[in-house]
Amino acid sequence: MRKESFWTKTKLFLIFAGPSMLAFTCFVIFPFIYGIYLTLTSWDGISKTKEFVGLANYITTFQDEAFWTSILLTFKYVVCVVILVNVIAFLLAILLTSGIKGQNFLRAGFFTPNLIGGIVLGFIWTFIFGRVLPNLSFLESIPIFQKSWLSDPNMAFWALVLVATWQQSGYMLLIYIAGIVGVPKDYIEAASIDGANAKQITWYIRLPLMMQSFVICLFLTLTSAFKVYDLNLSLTEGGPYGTTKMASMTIFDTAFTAHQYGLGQAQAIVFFVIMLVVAVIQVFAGKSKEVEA
Amino acid sequence: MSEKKQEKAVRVGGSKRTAAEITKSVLAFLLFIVYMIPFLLVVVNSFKRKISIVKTPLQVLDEEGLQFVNYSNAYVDMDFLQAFANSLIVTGCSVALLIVLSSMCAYILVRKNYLACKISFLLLISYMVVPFQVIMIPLLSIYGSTFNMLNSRLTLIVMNFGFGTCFAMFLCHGFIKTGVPLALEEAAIIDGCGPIQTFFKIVLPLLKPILSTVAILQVLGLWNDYLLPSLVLVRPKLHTLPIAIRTFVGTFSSDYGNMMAALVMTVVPVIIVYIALQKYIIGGVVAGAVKS
Repeated sequence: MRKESFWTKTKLFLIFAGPSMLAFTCFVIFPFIYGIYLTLTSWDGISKTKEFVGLANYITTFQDEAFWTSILLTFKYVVCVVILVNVIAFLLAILLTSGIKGQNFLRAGFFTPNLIGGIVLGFIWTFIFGRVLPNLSFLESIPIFQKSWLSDPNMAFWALVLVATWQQSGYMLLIYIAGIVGVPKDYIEAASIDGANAKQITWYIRLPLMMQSFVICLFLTLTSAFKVYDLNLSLTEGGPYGTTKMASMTIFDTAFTAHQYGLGQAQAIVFFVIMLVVAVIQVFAGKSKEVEA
Repeated sequence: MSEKKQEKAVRVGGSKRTAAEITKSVLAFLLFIVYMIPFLLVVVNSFKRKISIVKTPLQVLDEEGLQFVNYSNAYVDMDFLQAFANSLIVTGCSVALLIVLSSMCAYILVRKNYLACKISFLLLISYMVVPFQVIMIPLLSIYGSTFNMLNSRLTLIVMNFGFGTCFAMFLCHGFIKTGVPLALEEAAIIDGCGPIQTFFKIVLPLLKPILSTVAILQVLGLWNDYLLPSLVLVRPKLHTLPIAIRTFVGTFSSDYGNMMAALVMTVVPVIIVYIALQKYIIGGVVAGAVKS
């Protein structure tokens, strides 16, 4: 091939990658950098001047008890959702690959909640928790069903976990099914010819070869649980009394409700760093256990 | 293909219908019903009067028969058609931009090893770990306070494109690298095609499988997106469905009948599309997740 001149190269790059890179620069790179500058100011989002305050916003963030309460709550939520979603999805995946009738129909059915956004799902469940559950007479004797889950701080948290689990298990189920089906048949045959029993095949052949599915599912559930906002907003609105306010909602409220853009952005950066560290640890821990088929 | 074959093998292996088999089937279907109950309850109650929803939410039929009035109320009060159209415009245009422009971007990043390409690729993939919450506040400061570009569907569309292009590019990148033979393009160039012609006539048609995955994932995500649209589209006339339904529930929160009807109207179009394209949607979701 003939050598391309600098102008040909530039022209080609701009034609093909130009639109994407322009939009990406305008809406991601530039705001990201501008956001770091914002954290060094005490801007309220309205006034013309942005007063430079140095690292004051970060110091406030680190000392802000409400912020760390919401981070801790988010952690608790992430742990509960990640465990419940993955355990349920994995067990369901085993059930739906065991050759029962209608498994393709069921697989599609369990996925349905993922077609619908957190806002609508939250409202559907507001109705279930607020109107249906308190109305079931046979549940009256069980203490946790005596009043609406959404009016009790502790139960409202579990309501969020329950809805998130209900929604996401159908999604992860698909990935686990792909993983289970993707283990080559001849490996299992070879192992059983070599005298491995069912338990050994599961532990030494199936699970290691499925490691990639676990890494993907954990990563997806982890990051989506960290970022939860829609469901939080429509199901509990952070209530009762702000007890279920997760990190995203706290950041949103600091910036747009309390008009502290600088502080809100500092919280967002701290949140980002925490999430990044957790996600990186998870991916590396998982990758080290992965086996090539 | 091989997936299908193996699925069949699994089924053949477990073809002996034993008691355990039946228990499993029953268990799976019971679980499925439990999963579906919230939807069923909403549908059932959307046809009832407020009083019977509050008193007997589990009763299937209202004593006075099916109540369609909830639907006509909700339809008018939440300006359903307008919100639906807004959602359709925003999702449709964003996805169209994403498909064409992201695949073009991916193509040049795979085929040319210019320095600009390498830097672009690194920048794009590193965004995948950045949560939207970090961009949200400065984004609004710049395009709201400084440039006053909010309250426009076009702004939202290009923003959706800017945020979505990373993942779309990433999926196409992997696909072009392994799935599009360079020899085809070389042949086209020898026959006198320019780079743009080569891309649109040779490469783009080959990208159909991955582009359908991109489209499915983006449609699902954008149709249901709430946070960014709610920040950009403040004027009620521009509200997309998720914003419209939230405003509606906020205003008429005690009117359960209307609320149920509004929820059903929001969900039903999605379910219809799902039933029609179920195979592709499930395939696309799995492919998108496994490739990331």
